[in-house]
Order: sequence, then C-alpha cells, then structure tokens
Amino acid sequence: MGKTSAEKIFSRKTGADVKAGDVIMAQVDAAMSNDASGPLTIEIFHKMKASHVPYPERIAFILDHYVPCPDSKVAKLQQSVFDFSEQYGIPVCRGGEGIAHQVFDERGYVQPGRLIVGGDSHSTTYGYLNCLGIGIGSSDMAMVFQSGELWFKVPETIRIDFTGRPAQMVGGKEAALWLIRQLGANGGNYKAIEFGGAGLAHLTMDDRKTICNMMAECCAKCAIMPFDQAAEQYCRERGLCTDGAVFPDDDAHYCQRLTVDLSQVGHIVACPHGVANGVELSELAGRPVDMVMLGTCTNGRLEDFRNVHRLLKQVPGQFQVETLVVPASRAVYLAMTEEGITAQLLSRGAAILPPGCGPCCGSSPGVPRDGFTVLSTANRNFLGRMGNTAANIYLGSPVVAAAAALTGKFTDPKELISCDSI
Amino acid sequence: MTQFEGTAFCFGDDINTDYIISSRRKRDTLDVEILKQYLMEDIRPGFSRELHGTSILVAGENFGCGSAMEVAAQVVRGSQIPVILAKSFARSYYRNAVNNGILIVELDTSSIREGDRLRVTVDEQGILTQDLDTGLAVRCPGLRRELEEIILSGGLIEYVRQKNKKEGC
Repeated sequence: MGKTSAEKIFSRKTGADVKAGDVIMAQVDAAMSNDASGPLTIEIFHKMKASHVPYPERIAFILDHYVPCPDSKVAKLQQSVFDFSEQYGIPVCRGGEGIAHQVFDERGYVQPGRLIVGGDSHSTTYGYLNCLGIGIGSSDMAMVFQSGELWFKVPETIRIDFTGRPAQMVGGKEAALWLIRQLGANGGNYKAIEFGGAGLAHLTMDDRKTICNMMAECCAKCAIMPFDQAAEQYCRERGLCTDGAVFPDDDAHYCQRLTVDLSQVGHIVACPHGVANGVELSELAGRPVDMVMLGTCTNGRLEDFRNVHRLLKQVPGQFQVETLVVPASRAVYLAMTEEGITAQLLSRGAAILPPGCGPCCGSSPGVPRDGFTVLSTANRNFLGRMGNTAANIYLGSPVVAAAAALTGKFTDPKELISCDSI
Repeated sequence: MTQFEGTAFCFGDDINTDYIISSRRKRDTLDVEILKQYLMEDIRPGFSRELHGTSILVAGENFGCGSAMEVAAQVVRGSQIPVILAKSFARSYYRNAVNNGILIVELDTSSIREGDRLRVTVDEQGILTQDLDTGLAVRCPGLRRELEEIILSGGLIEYVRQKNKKEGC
C-alpha cells in the first residue's frame, strides 16, 4: 500500500515504515512559541525540573499576541520569555516583527518535508510549503524544548483535489470557507488534509497559506500542499532547501476524498458564531456592517493587501465604517508602504495597527462596540472572540471586507467596479 | 482501580477554547487559581460560582475546538473537574487534557442531565461511566496505557518527574 504525504514525512522522521494509526516518537525540525503559550511552556519546563535545551536553533520565540505590551502584568510574562531565551540561546523576535506564523516562515524555519510544531493552533499554516505543521499545547512544547522530540499519532488523511479556475476576486479564503462548511467544524479532527489537483495552479502561495491556516477550523491536525512548480519557484527565490519535498504515492490510502471545482466557488462569508456557517455573500448583500478588520495570520499578507489595493484603485471614496488594518509582519508592512498601499489605506480612513495578532482574539486594542456587525478577514468568529460578546463577527476575504468598508454594507466587490465603470 | 464521582454540568456542541477561557483573561497571569474564576464566562456567566466539590463536564460533539492553548485544560482541572465526558473531543484539547491529568471519555452523552450524580471508574476492563440518577451505565475501552499513566499521575509534569526519578535510581 502506498503512502500519503503525512505518512511519508513520519516514516522519514522515524526511519521506519509507518502508517496511519501508528504512535511514534519523532524529532521535530522546528518549533514556534509565542507570547500566548510561551510563558506557560517555560513554567512547565521548570516544573518538570528540566535544565537543558539540546536544540535551541530549532526553536523561535515570536511575540505577537500582546504587542506592543499593554500593561505590567503582560510585561512580566513577556520578560520570562526573554530571560529563558537568553539562558538557553533561543532567538526571540520582539513585538512588532509580526504574527508568529508569518515571521517564522519569513525567517526560513518552514521548508518542504519538515515536521514542525507550534504553540498555536494555526500552526497548520506551515503546510503550505509541503511540510507538516502541527499545533500543540505548552506541556508538549516543554517536552520539545527539553528533548527535541515528541510522540505523535500518524494521522489518517483526507484528500482534497482542486479543479477549475476560480472567478475573479475569489481565492484562498473562499476555498477555505467552502471546505470548512463542507467538512464541518470537526470534519478534519485527528486527520491530515492533503491537497492536490490541477486547480491548485490557480492558487498562489499566499492563497495556500490562507487555506492551510484555516484547516485548524475543522480541527485538522495538519494540512499539506504539494511540492509543485509554484512551491519550487518560491523556495528557489528564498534560497530554501527543497531536498525534503514529499510526494504522495498514487495508491496511497485516504479516509475521505473530496473534489472542489474552484470555478463553482463564489464569495463565501461565515456567519456568527461558527466558521462552518458559510453562506453566499449575495444572501447578506445590503445588510449593514459596522466595522471591518483586514489582516491576521489568515489574510494579512502582501498579496491580500495588493488585492485590496487593486479594488481601491478602481473605486473612489472614503471607508464608511471603522476599518482596522493589521499587517501580518513588519516585512509585509514595509512592502505595502513601498507599493503605496499603506498611503492608499490611510487616505481612505483606515487605522493601521502594529504587525501582530491585533484584535483577532480580543486581547489587543480594536474591540467592537455592543451590537456591532464586524466583517473580518480572520479565521475565527466565535462569540466574544474580539473581546465583546455583544458583537457579531462575520468572516470573509480581504476584497469582500474592503468592499464592505467602502459601502458600510455587505457588498459584492465586483458590483462596485462595474457600477464605477458605467 | 480509580474512581471519580461528581455532579454533571452540561454543555452543547463545539464548545471552543475561547468559551472555556477567554483569550483576554489568559494574557495577565498563569495563575490557575485566578483564571478559573472565568471558566465558561462568555457562554455561562457566573459558572465558576456554581461549582462546589467535584464536578464532571458533559458536552456534545467537538469539545475544546479552536485554540491549542493549554490554559483551557488547566482551568478545568483547577476547578475540581477531573473528568470530561463528550461525544467527541478536538484533537488539541484531547492532548492538553491528558497532559493535565484530566480523564476524557468519549460516549453518547445525550441522556445525561444537568445535576445528575455521575461515577466514572477506570479499571482493567476499561472505563465505566454511570449516571447514578438514571441508572445509565456505559463501558468504553480504556485509553492507551501511556495516556492512562499520564492522566493518573496527575498530568505530564508529574509523569516526567516520576519517570526521571525512577531513571535516576
């Protein structure tokens, strides 16, 4: 029997012929810790009486949830991260560098074929580059810190094949919301999700990051994109090693298969308070929106903002509602600025927040008011997620969110363009 | 044999970690004694004050979905809740619960009512869940031995300490 991509990576990591269901110990290639889960990891590390970090070069601390530091309590916890990193030689990316998933990627920790863990559920993002990204808790991370390895159950795999070409302005976010609606809020639980199919040629690397990021919302253990021409070119441009790339066998066993015709996927918006509550944008058209958030580890990358910029260049006018913009990293922010996107957003009335998680999980400024309808490009719309249980959060793509910012209503971005050109 | 007895507190499907403990609470402190006051506050305000003695959480599908944050398991354990019964658990929560010494049992929870007296027994034959008010008795297979050892040690910290001590001898 052939192997899935996940089985291949776990087989290589253990030097054994492993298959779904096997429980194995494996060395991880890279580990990401942030300011939300890092302090607890450090506390547990000490409670375990550990005193050695054998592979500090595989670990990075990236401060992203509470930046810039809002008060002295947070400062104390963040200090524990700096102290620990100094003691054990682990690099720290200070607040303002960006969201951990984005920065970890920019710093080259994400490479094809790697087994990567992160102290954050959206570590599934790393799978965009043909590796396994798995979110873990702080106790597990403390084990990784002290030994470099962890036990894993080799997951079964759901295979998703993309076909067709997406319509204009439809991309990774729509594909992700479509899939989560289809699979359900726990449809990927305990499983790897492996992507393939000719339609992938129409999804950019940033689209793939968005899709892998959001597979955490159907509880997938990890999500893995193929090593195709686009991935190879991406690695070449960044000088990343491609030796570890994996390819699933033709006769690999999948527990479920799904084909998504991208040409049939329209603008989807997830309604409160669940990510699987996707509806067609047209069902909501015209309903008022009170606040827009553009950014996060789901959709705060350069291409997301380029798409918004393209729309704004064709549609004049100020943002009608409070519009928060959170670039995923300082590098993204800098590129946005060089390309004139920052000026464009500011001139329309956006408030640009420092790179980081921003208001996504309610722990940084940007909390919506009571009764607010928020249209966000984030990955979660749970009740109270943005810090106020009296607000309703909808999730959509950056272009859909930007269209709502321009009109103050749920609006199909294509209609804005056609109206303007008439 | 290990036995737990407690009062049932019932929740629905897709109880995510933000509902168990809000992200905005955990940024201030790692102290579970403080954080446990906020258990389930967004979906059941004042819940922590309803708890007296040993309690058992009962839920539907996909308990603990959302974030991988371990504090969502710690606050449950810190609230004298040693067992969670649910139709299914999200992967990351399952792992964090084991690592914090919480016994997780997957079974059909639909007939268990709020306030019922529950008894959960772990022995050689597996896990027996009994509702002492309705007479329901469900036997499930035991967990993998290593997981059971971690849970019964009180969590991964204790498990690692004990293991290191043994190896030290």
